[in-house]
Amino acid sequence: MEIVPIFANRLYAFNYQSEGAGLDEFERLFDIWQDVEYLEEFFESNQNDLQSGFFDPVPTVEQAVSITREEAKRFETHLRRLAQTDDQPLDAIFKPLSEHEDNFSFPRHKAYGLRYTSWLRIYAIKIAHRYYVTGGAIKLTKGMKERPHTHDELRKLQRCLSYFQEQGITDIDGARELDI
Amino acid sequence: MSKKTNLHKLDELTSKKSSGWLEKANWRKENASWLDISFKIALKILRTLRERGMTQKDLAEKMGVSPQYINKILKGSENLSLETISAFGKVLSIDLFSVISENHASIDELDTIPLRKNRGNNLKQRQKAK
Repeated sequence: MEIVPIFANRLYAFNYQSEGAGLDEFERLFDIWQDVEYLEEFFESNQNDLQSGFFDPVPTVEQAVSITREEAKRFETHLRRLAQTDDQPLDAIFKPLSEHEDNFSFPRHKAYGLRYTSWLRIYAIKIAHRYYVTGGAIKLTKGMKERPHTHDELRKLQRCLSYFQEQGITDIDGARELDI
Repeated sequence: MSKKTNLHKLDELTSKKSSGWLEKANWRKENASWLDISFKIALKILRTLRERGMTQKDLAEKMGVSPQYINKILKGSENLSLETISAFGKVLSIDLFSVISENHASIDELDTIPLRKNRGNNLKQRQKAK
């Protein structure tokens, strides 16, 4: 498990494999959200959620695949622009995951895709002014615990919080003071 | 714990090597026009295979190529030649060139509420209406 920088001093991501093997979560997400084979399989397997009535009009699998990729492209373009400007804060993108984030050693956050009822999510832990991406998902249900793939993202957030704790990054007051 | 210690520890946990995302994002931006076409063709082929109960291996055999090559194409990020597109179309008896001009759905078609900033309120109204 290691942390890699995305934009220096602002955005980082976890790579759950050791010593640089595999991809960090941020890179992995933008790969799979633009991978036709992955998306077709995902929406085919989650058709019931797609047709649950929340999304109106109900998209077909083909539409869901195309919309996801288009949205990932726009999101990526938006983030590329942010990456090119050193002083852009990320607070406009990330929001607290719940109203109870004070119960955690560091608050968990989520970023939505740019579409209004976007199903794209990026999850991160905020320490001072920095965001550490733990994962992300295509979220088609209201609660994260409702489906295994989103429930896994909650577990990953917890795993990363534990990792910080194990590494001695536990002092929330101290971390907040970094936000200067 | 001092500010310096905390910051230092966070930096120590961080790899010197940056994520590969930005390089890939730049590449995707530079190659966006043909990637859009490859994406549409890959999706059409995948849906056709599913409808017909065919595997990627079946397609590879029909095409006389390796399953790895088919898999690479079906990820939608291979720069396909006209000859390759024709060959896929012939084997599957589908017109892949007409797919290029098709629009499955625009982002705006799926969601008719345009104001992102009112998201919470509008979602509550929607849920209430159900």
